Amino acid sequence: MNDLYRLQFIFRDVLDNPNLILNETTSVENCQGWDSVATVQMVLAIENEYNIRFKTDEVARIRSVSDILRFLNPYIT
Amino acid sequence: MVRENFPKAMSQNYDSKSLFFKLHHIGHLVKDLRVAADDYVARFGYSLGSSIIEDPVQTARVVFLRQPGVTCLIELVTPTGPDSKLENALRKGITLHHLCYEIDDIHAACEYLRERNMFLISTPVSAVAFPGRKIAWLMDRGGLLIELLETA
Repeated sequence: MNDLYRLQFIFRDVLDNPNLILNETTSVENCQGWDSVATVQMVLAIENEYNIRFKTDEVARIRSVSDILRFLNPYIT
Repeated sequence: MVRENFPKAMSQNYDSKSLFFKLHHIGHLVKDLRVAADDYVARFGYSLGSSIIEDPVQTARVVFLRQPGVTCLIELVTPTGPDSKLENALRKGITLHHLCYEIDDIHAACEYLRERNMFLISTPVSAVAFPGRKIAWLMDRGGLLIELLETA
């Protein structure tokens, strides 16, 4: 399963939107319901999915799917 | 009966000399402010502590309830409409929504809690419900939502 697909599963659950299609340009500006609370909920789900821990100041900088993929990059094999 | 001791860190006083987090209110997310307020009044002896206040920044309408002799308030919160930030939480059945602590230095408190593994969700902004005072929001890994309110 590729990482975008794994993130899409998480986003759909957090944003309660089963039809959401995610791509690397998806961001807080163009994705309905993606606010700062949703960001934290996504981060917690991503931590469980990938068995990693984000730093709290990293989370404050997340504004897009590409930001998340960049943080995940060192953990993706 | 089995007694379990708390780990040492949990039984120690917190180490801040200057920050005192005073519980100000508990936020309860509801579908209908009037129905929920009536229930609190009839069941637990609360009375209305404010009129209904709409905050467009928080996309919420709120009303405060108080009990005689009790400083901690109940804040009933409802979304302003289908596009409210709160609509998703309400749809997922989240009702006990947040704890609000009053604090003298809200900026220092945000930093203090961020250093203690809480996510800063919203930096301090003016609040319609508390004229002249700022609020900020944080969340921990367990999903506990905390509002900080600048002391008047």
